[in-house]
Amino acid sequence: MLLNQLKVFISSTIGKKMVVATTGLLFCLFLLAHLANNFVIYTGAENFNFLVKSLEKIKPLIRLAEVMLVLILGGHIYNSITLALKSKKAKGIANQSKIDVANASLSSRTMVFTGSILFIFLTVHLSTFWYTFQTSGRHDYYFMVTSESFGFGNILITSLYLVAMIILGFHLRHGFQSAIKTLGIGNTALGKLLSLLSVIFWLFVPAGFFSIAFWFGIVKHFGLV
Amino acid sequence: MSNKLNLTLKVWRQESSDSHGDFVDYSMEGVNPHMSFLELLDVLNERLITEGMDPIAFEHDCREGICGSCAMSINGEAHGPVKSTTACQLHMFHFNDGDTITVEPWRAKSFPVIKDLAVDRSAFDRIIQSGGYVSVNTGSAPDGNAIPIDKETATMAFDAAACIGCGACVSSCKNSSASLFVSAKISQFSKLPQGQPEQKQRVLSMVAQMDKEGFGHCTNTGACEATCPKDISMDNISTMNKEYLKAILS
Amino acid sequence: MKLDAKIPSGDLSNKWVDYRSSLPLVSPANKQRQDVIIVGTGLAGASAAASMAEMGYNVKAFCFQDSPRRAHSIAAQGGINAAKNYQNDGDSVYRLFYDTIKGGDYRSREANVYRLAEVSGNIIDQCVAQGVPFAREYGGTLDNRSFGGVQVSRTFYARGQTGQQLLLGAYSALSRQISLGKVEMYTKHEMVDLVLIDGHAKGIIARNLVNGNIEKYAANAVVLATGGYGNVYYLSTNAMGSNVTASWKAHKKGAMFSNPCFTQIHPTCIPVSGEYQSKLTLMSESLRNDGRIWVSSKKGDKRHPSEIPESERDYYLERRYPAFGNLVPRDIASRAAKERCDAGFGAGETGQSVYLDFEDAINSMGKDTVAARYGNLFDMYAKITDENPYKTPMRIYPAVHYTMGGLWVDYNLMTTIPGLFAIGECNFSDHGANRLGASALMQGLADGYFVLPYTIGTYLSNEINKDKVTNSDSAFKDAEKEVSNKIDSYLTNDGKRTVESLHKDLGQIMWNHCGMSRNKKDLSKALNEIKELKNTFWSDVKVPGKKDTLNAELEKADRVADFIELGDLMIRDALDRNESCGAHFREEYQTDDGEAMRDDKNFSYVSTWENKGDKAEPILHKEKLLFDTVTPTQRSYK
Repeated sequence: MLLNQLKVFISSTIGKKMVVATTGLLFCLFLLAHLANNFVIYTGAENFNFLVKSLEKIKPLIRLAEVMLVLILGGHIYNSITLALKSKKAKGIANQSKIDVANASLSSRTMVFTGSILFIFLTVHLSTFWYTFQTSGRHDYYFMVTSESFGFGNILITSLYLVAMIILGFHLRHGFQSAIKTLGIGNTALGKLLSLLSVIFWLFVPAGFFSIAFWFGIVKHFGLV
Repeated sequence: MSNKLNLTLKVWRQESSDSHGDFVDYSMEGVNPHMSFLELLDVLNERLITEGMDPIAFEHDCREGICGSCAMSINGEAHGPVKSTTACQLHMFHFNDGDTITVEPWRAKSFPVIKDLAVDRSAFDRIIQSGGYVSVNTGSAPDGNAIPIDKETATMAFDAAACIGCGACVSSCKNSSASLFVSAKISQFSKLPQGQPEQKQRVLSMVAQMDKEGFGHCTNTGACEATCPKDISMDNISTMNKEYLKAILS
Repeated sequence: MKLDAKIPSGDLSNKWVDYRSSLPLVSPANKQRQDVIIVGTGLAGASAAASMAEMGYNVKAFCFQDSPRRAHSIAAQGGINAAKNYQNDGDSVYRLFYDTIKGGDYRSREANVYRLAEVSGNIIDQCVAQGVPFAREYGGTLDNRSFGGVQVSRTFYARGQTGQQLLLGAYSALSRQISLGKVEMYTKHEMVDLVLIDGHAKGIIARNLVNGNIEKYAANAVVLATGGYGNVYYLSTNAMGSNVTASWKAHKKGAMFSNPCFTQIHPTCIPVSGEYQSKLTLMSESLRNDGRIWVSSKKGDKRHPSEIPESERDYYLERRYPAFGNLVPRDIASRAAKERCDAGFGAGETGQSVYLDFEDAINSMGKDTVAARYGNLFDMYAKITDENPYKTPMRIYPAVHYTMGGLWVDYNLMTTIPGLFAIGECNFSDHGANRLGASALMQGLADGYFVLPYTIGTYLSNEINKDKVTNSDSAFKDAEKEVSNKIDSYLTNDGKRTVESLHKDLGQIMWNHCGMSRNKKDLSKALNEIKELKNTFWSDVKVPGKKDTLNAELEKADRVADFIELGDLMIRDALDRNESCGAHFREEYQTDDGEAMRDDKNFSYVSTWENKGDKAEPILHKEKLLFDTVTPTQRSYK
């Protein structure tokens, strides 16, 4: 019975969209935790290296979290793409004259595009920091992040990070609000509160990541202070 | 008191659902700014008939903005540029002399073109048939005042019930989603006590039928709400989603 | 032929209850074997289809629109009357009955009207149960307003969209039966002929408007719920597609047509703005509660209304009817406006409008109060005219709105053709010579929900033992062939006149000579003009396009052909009725100060016309109206 209901749910457009919304929100929570860790980098090499090393000590837990993140992201991407393909099919011939719809913001109309850019960014991000952290055997994490050629020592990488964070903000600008509506709590007090808090996720979180890339990759790198 | 307009109309002409369509230009001179957009098409059609050409097919009936028959995108916007207005109540004084106006049918796979600007919207009827009602047989109703409903609730239910089923929301939506239409009906009944007993089955059936008809999903972009001639709110979609989740979990 | 209205005997207040209990029943098993065709899905058609399907009949429903929800009932604004007495203001079934029969100027049947008032309460209950969002009081009970000058508040409403909400209620009930398989719904199908077998209605020929197929449908009974024929005037508040074709085909097959000349003209519509005008838009007559109607007291005054000083304004309704002023009934307000405009005092570029002014209302109760009461109507006016009614007085003019006449029916709502029923606006039964505000919705739903589903049993109970009719009968083939030939003849006619232009000509004749006021000379002239128009139509009509695709011109051609014949009958009816009653005003029959003079001695009857084919003139039959309970009195609004 319940399994049946679940099947109905996951094959419906609303169900799929709710999966996209939930996974998106969960990923936002992860970003918040990620950023909190990253901010330690401002306190100097010692603290940062210590933090990363201590994470090593709870490796099984981290691995479990990583698996969950992959599932969350997988669910997010898979359902987003399925829905996008379905809606493309639903449209058939598009409107032939210019669409000038006041209410539909640019960010809301470009979710698949911004999502794809973020996916490319993620691959680069994982193949540099994450992969090296795991495999290099080095423990000078602070140096790797701030000065190596696969980190903010490379202006190209820095630029990618800066652009990606702006795009992340853009993606979450619509994504977070939309998720609240999709989950059906848009009209409730909780939904309205979350809407107010959404600025944390679309502005402060991306801005936090941005600041690190900017501080180490631009300001420090070029010796501006 | 009013200046006549000279306009160029680019109208989508399509013989039938399986034939190829394209825009055809018509120049219109001396248009009285007080005529409605559909009257403009009437005048053009009279001309086409006398010239021995096939008049433009378009749906229309009440011409008071309530039956929901008229359906066309004007310069890319469902029902044209004026907010809260159907094409039949759009008057030409909103346009300027020398304008070129593009007119095309609703764009959605689930609304196949019948001819020119007329599309088949029977998908909407099938969605209502799947559960957009309260099952109450004639003669079995209790006294009207036996079910008190507070004024605010009645007002909210009315706001949702004001939908005219024209399909503008589907055409405006980049995903051709019918969410605004479906949610307006679900939301009306979800607010009223009369709708409660069947609420779960209603939302499950109507959503399933909406998907089956091939409409896309809602990405909360809000184009539907912006072009809805009856100002149906997107809050209804949130309500539908909540009711759907409730129905799945119960 | 004697017209037997089959009014049950007994005391007026018990007739319906007693009769209903004595009606023959059709057993559930037998109902499942009975097919009923219902044409039209407005309030009457949709409610009848749903109710009868619930009872077990197999229903086939037809509408020419692309969805049953688009029938023109949807456009009704004001509300629906019901004798609930929720406001404790002394309302009762009797009072609603009395107001309706008096409002109809004593030209309707007591028994039918009483039944209408009797079932009115059930309608509200039914609609509420369906989830119709009627206006409510803060305490949660249903709200009422007073409407159309009656002294009690018995009108239920859902903002200015009561018709829409009621129709969507009936449509939802219909949709439920479609999903249960008890109703087969045929949208975009127009009834183009009625099929009789042994003199009984046993099916219809319908044209599929999308692919042009001529289709044959058989049933045990046929119900017409096809609305009014106001579009005979070309310009009216009816929908563009509203037509008389189904009723007219039935008329030509033997169903008699009653009181065709009784046409209601609504006083508060937005005036015609030009040649291209395709329809007229009504604004709720509640505007007359606070607006003052006037014209300039100078002929041909082209000044802007703000430049016309108070001393030069003629508040003609207040002048002529000091007791009721701007609130006189619809027919009186309409005629008074026409009188002023015809005399050359009309406002606006065309001189065919009068001012409806809210300046005094705004000054005395404030703009906000006026906006709260009439805001949506003001917005609608501004949307259409591009003028701001808060600053400049509105301009209004009367427009054709509702037709009281229609197919003659007996108490069971059966026409003179056995097995053919007519419900809602397309029958003549309940409104006499003039309909009261908020009563059209009431009648449509009364017929569909609470009358026909019972009374149709009187006919169907006798059909159980007869052989099942199928559409392979030769009568169907003949009718199909006739329809098909007619369609070909439209398309091959090598004419020059568009259907629209001929329809406009018809409208001109009808409006000028058989409109708000009529006289023998003009009517006789019009009869000739119609004859000429009919000839022009058949010799010179030009119908473009093909028969096997969507072809609006072809649809219109057949409708206009029928309207022309109806126009002829309306004029004959108006000529016959040598009295002024309700909406029918004959200039020869008025008092010295221009008020209507009814003649109960000679005209207390329902004019019922029998069609004798294209070559012969129609024959008038009279159904005498008997008043046992009420005594006809002269209306006075002085």
